[in-house]
Formats: sequence, C-alpha cells, structure tokens
Amino acid sequence: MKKIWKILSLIALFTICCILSVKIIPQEEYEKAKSGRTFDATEQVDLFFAEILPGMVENAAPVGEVLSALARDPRQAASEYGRTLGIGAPYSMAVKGEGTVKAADGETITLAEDGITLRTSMIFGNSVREASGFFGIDDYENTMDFNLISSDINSRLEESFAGHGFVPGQKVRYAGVMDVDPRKPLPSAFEVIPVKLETE
Amino acid sequence: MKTIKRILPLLLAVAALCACGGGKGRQEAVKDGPGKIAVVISTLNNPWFVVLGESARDRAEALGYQAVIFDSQNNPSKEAEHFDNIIASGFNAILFNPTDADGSVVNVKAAIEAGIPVFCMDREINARGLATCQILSDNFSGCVSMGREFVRTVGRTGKYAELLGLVGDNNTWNRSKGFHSVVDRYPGLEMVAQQSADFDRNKAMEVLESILQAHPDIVAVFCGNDSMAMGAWQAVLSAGKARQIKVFGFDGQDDVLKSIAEGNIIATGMQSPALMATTAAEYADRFLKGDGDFSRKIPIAVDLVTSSNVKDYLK
Repeated sequence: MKKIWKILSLIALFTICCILSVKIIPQEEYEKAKSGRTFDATEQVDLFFAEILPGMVENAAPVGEVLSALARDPRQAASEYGRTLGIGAPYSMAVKGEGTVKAADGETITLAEDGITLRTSMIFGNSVREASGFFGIDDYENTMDFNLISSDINSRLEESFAGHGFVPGQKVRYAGVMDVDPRKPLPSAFEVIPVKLETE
Repeated sequence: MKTIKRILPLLLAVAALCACGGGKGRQEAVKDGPGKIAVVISTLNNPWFVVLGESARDRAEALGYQAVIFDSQNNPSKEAEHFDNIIASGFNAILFNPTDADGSVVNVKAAIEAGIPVFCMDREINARGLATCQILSDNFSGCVSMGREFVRTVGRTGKYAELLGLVGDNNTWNRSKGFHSVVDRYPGLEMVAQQSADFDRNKAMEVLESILQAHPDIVAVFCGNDSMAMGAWQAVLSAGKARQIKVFGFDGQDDVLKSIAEGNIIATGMQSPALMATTAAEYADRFLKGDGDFSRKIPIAVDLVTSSNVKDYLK
C-alpha cells in the first residue's frame, strides 16, 4: 500500500512537471495569428477628412514664408514647418498659397509663381498622412496597414480633382503638402499635393 | 527514517520544479556581470543578412555587451529552438530578424514574458505593441519610388514579370504592393508572371528562365530584392536578352550598385542594414539602462538608386 502511494505521488509530480514544461496556446490565438486579415482604412480616413483636414488647411503656413525660410536655413525650416517619420525620410509641410495656371497636363498644374507645381493625379506617397500629424505608426498592427491609410487618402484626393479642367491663365487658391529633404540640395521647383483647391 | 524515505521523492520533485522555473533568477544573476545580447538572424546564407547580423553584434560589443549571433536558417522551428535556448541562458536582450511575420509572434511573446526585451530588425511581426521596438525599412514607400522609376524607364506599355521574396515575410508584400500601387495605374503595363524565388539568387535565375520560356517578349522584371535581381540578370544574359529586358531590384547590395554603374541593372532601393542593426543595438542599450522612451516602430527611409546617383553610393 505504501509502495503504491509512493508510485502514485511520483506519477502525479511527473505529470505536473510535463504540463509546466509545455506552452499551450489557445486555439483562437493561433487561428488569429494564421488567418488572413484585412485592414479597412475607411473609418479613420473618413474621420481625417471630416475633422482633421479643415484644421490642417487653416493652419497651413504661407508658401512664400516657407520658401524663404528654406532658402535661409533648410534644416531649421524643415524642423519648424514640417513633420517627419523615422530616420531619413523627407519632412512633409502643410502650405497654402495662390497662383496663376501656367500649364496643366491632367496630372499636374504648373503655376506661374513660386516654382510650385500642384499634383492632382497619380498621387503617391505618405506626404499628406505625415503632414497631418494625426496618424501614429504605433497604432497599427503592421506597416502595410499604415500604408493603406496613405493609399486611401491619395485616392480620395485624386477623386476630388477628377473632371476639373484647369486652363492657363486661371487663378487658383490652394492648401496642400510638399516634401523637403534638408539633407539634399533643394530643388528649383516644389511639388505640392493639394488637399484643397479652388479656382476663382 | 521511514518518514524521510516516504517524503524524499516528493522533496526531489519539488526541487526539480523549482529548477524549471529558475530561468528568471539566472537572468538576473547575469545582469551583475557584462550583459548578453542575442542576435537572431533569419539566414546567414545571404550577404545582406550577414551585414545585418555582424553590424548588430559589433555595435552591441562596442556598447560593452557580449553578443552572440544565432542563424535561424530561414526555419521557424530553428528560430523557436534559438529562443528557447536564449531564454534559458539568461540573455538580457534580443536583436531579432524574424523568419515569419505571424509565426515568429509566439517566440517574441515568450521572450517578453521571460522579461527579455526584443528589438526587431528589418522585418516586423504582426502584433501591435508586443516587440519592444521594431526598426524597419520603409519598403512600401521605397517601392513606390521604384514603381515610378519603372514607368519612367520602361514606358507605359509592355509586359513584365515580378519575382517575389519569401511569402511569409511582410517585406515581400510591402514591396510588391508599393510597386503595384504605381504600376497598376497604367493599364498598358501587363504583369504576365508573378512568382516567388524566396529572395534567393539561384532560385531567381531558375524561375526567370522558366518565365522566359513562356513569355519571351517581356521587357522588364521587378525583383523584390537584389539577390534575386542578380539571378534574374544572369538569366537575362544567358537568354541573350540584355538589351530587351530591364531588371529592377531592392536592397542596395554592392554587386547591384556596381551593375547599375555599368549600365546593366536599372535601379535598386538603398536599404541600410548596418543602420538598422546599430540602431537596434543602441535602443536595446538605452532600454536596458532604463530609458524606454521611444516609438515602438521606427521606419528608415529607402533611397532610390539609379545610374544618375549611383556614384553617391559606391564605396
């Protein structure tokens, strides 16, 4: 009887050791990790256009002021007027201005003033997302989800400009975003992605 | 005496259990001496990852740690073994290049639960807020630039192929999606083949040779990394189509930079494995000294390198 008791207690302890040495992952957790998941940027981008964009337009710096600051001290100007993400990326700056259409080719509008080109189609990159300061990379499960935010913003902007004809001589008012990399020589002309574009 | 003999097995078992749970104690004991940092790399069979691993190790050692490189050989099971070993051996931090964005989550979780911070390099895991920090190239934006260069040099019409990297690596899809976000906007550009060559040079050569059998009239191939670009270039040369087919890569490897300067491969995206690795080591050092005030994810910009600026990048 004593021997049986000893054996049973040893078996019980051995079983406990085995259980403690094995990591059990809930099936739900495993399935979640393996399942294909899709991210929908719609809700957040809806919020951005409805509540953040108006403030971004309101607070955009006059483009002349920004260009002068860049000519004086690119690094200081980029830091003061722009936002950047991570290491090595350009600074995205919200600017506003007005000008006269010099040329329009369906993708871009070249203005006669300030060396500014407005891009209204084939809009790519993260400039508007970054300039807004609204979206944080740490809030997304992976960088692809974060990039989908940019893709959605860009396609909505393109849709808003589609069908608008711009002709030389036309006066326009705009607010938008331009990228500057102060580590490189400044370009002679700047491309602005407009987030608001009005004709007079 | 009989009582002692009766309870001795029980005492021995309890002692064994205590030993099983003693990892944390061993780790704290290590902290009294020079810290230990583990550098876990997906594969050392690729020169790019060798630079990543060695840069991380060298920077960790320069910061005063003992650093050991572990090669996962592109095998998630091997990676899991390394993590078990690292956790049991009392390392203070892990600089980690995952084999799989989903599959590696469980390993990171185990390390974090054991009190070991994990700093992902180059590749991310699909788990928000789990890794202590993730230092990654901005692959999507880099390949948006690549896509724009592709359209500029290839034109708005033509057939092309794409060679993908490892399908379990988020970088593969970030690059592909960045590229397609541009190129798919041009209906005249037709992708006739898209296949994985696992980021491997030899496999890329074989895959493109097969693609060329079926589609001899392609005018370009986009490769998700430079090793594959070099393999693709070999296939293009062997087929006598060097003037017909433009090859694009991604990484910024020395042999591709040289090829661009010679007018062969058209473009690559310049990543900096050394910068990622040293940044990871420095953040680990900061964290271990009590400073955790940094973003959980740090993207590093990728520069487009073409014949017009390759001289700025050649060593």
